[in-house]
Amino acid sequence: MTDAQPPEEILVNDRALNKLIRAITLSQGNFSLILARCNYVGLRDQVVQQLKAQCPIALRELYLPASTKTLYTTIQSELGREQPQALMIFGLESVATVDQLLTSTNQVREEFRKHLSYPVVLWINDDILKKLVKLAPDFKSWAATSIKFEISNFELVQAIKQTADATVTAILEAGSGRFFIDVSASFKGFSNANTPDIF
Amino acid sequence: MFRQTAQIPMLLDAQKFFNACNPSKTLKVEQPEDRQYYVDFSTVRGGNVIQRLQRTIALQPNVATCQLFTGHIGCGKSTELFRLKADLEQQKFHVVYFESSADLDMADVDISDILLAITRQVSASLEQVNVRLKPGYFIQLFGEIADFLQTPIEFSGEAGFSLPMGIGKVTAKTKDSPKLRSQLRQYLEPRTSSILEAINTEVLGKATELLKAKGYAGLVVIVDNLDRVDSSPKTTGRSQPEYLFIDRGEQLRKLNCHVVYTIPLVLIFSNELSTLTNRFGVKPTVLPMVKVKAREGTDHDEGMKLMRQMVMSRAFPHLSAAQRLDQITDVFESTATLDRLCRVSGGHVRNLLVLLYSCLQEADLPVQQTCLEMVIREYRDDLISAISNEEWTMLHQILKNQDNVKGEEEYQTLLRSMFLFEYRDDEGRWFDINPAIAESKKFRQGL
Repeated sequence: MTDAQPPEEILVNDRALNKLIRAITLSQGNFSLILARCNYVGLRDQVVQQLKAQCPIALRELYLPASTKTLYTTIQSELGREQPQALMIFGLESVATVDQLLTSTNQVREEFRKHLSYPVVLWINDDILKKLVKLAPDFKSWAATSIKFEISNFELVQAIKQTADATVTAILEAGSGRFFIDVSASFKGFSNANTPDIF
Repeated sequence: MFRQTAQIPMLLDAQKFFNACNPSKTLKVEQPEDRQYYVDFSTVRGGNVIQRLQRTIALQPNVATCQLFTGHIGCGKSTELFRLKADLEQQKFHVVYFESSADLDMADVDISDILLAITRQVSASLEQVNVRLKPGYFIQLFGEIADFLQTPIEFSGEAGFSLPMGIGKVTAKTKDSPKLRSQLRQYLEPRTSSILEAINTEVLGKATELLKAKGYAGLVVIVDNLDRVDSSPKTTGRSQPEYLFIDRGEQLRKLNCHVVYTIPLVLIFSNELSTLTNRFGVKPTVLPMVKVKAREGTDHDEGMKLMRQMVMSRAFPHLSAAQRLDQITDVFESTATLDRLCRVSGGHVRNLLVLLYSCLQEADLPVQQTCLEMVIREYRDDLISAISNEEWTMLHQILKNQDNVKGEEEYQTLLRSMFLFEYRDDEGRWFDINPAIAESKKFRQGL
């Protein structure tokens, strides 16, 4: 690999970011369901930072608590009469009863296009995408293909190394015999259903 | 000076095209703008489905009719129902079209909910043409309900008594409270027959009479979105669609005007389909995919022609069908690119829009072949990630044996997830794999 050529993932992510910005910008004033797919919280946060810096449209953010039961009413109660230029929704993957949430979202999908006149970016991971296909196929069929952000091997290795370092530090600090690893905590930036694949 | 200014409508408005390709947009044929985008697919869908529904009503205006309509996700059900509404209105019918999902909680629907929703929608729509109903039965019933819910219900607005307002108030009170709702149902359930009778005489019968006096041919109610009722089994062992349309179908068909219900497609694959047909005295009408290829696998010329029009009308709504074809290269790299899009859509209209919309999100016009191919790959990956090994086996089996999809489970997993599409021709129906999935390595390996 030469320095002159950026790794393929970076090109892929640039293209994806560009597509996401276009998708948001072009649907100003209209409801549009946009699926942004990323398996790693760390990478997602990075992408969102870049997105906010580059997108000419103000993005309203909404974080779903784990206890969220329904999507539409949550948007409604959070936003009230507010009509943002675009809405980004995070946290679907950590909703406890996500299956029910998706099923009911599919049933009330009409409310979205009737009452929301702005693009809605739904951040999902591979697991949620599968669930959308199975549990909310009608709702999903309103969206273009998902816009996927991938992690490069380099970044993945870095993340594993960081976790390993943190683990070693934890062991050293705890002293022998009193060590307890909280894998999910040390892997914070990358925690999601795919975490086990990394090990 | 020498330029032809008359050519202005020929210009392609990229933003408008983008909006028109949004897969979440339903065409409302009554709106002139949307009418330009509407393509009549009846010749390539196995019979003119909408015409059949329409004729059943128009040929017997003075008899109450009840019809069932269903179809696959995104194949254009709502669009066709809007067309039915427009057609019937032209024939002087008063048509009440409504999306039942706005009035009902689709996870938990009972007969009384549907009856009240219809009553509310019909009476509200009549108020708009200055027909106000004062049904004595309902005035009394809601008085009792108010006592029972221990809350006063205001029936009178600025213009005096209003039935839709009263029903709206009751439904609003019970919509968010499962406990109140169940209490209300327990109260209404033993009264279903008398409620039905009151709806028929005091609301629908009276309305028809008043409408006819105003020169209308009759009253038609189109209940859209009732296909969305949750199909998971209830504690009783019956699913909601089975309960509503089979167990209680007798009551749903008893309304005293023309009614078209959308029903969940799953019922078509239920082994109780014949019971359903008996209950309603009519077979459900299914809207299949557009045939872009024939059974034998060759292009279906007429289907392809109409799919091309569906795309090009969104780019050049003002042009004639022939003129639009001259402009293909404004939108696509070549005609081959457009044809590839039409073929890979499998004749599923929303599917086509999903692919096209993705291309438009990706880059400016014209859509390049490489861009389309990339989008097809992404679309395929989205779907394939959700197919389990057992489902692959099921898919292969059905295609190999040229089987029909049988049973609810196969329907739920294969058709509802859009892995498999259904087509019809003169010889009947057949199933084929979503063309985008057919191109995957995984599928070809399993052949």
